[in-house]
Amino acid sequence: MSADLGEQIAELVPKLRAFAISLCSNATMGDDLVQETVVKAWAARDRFEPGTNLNAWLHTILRNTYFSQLRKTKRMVEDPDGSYEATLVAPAEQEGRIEHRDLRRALAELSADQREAIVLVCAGGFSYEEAASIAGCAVGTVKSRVNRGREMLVTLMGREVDLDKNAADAA
Amino acid sequence: MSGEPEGNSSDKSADKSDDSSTPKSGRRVKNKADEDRLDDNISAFYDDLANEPMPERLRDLLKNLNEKDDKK
Repeated sequence: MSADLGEQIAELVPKLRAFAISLCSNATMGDDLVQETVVKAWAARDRFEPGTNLNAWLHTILRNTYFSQLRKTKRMVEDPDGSYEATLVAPAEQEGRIEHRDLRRALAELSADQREAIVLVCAGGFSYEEAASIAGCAVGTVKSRVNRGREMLVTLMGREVDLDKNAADAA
Repeated sequence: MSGEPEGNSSDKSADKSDDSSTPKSGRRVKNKADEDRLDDNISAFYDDLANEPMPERLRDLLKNLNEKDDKK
């Protein structure tokens, strides 16, 4: 059943990388996540039903791997308020083009759930229903996360613009 | 109802997302144009990431998968 599956997975890897890097806000961590996802998908390829949505299947494996690592890390360092989790997101200015710097910074400040919903729906081309299936939650939850995430992004990016303006004024 | 998923209580407002000017929360994205601009921005950011060159280790991994595919 796996005839050409490797090729199909390879074609989807750029999208997986974009999703992974958006989730982690870090290219190296994102690539680790993609690598693990591809290895897991390959090992479980007999469980993939041909004709179903391979892209959604791979995104589900990737997000489950990401959140499982996040939970494990939080348990290990006892991080009830998520302050350690926040340090796992790399400073946004380390990577990326200048025009996306503010967006990347702002995305990194969203909760992981909101970031996931925003990226899947607003950029990944998934419907609310598909995103809910990938995230394993109700459609309403995804809608709520997207709406709150958008509000947060607008607020955060407005703040970035103000900060940049203040810096320019002070110079 | 305490176990209700986070989004259920906001289903109604979420379903009215087209009416983005509704001042219910007071912090909604101001209007459809702002929302579209934000989504375009996120989309462009995502496309840029997807178009970045793939690192060597991933290329090698995928090459291995395809070689395994060919052997079947």
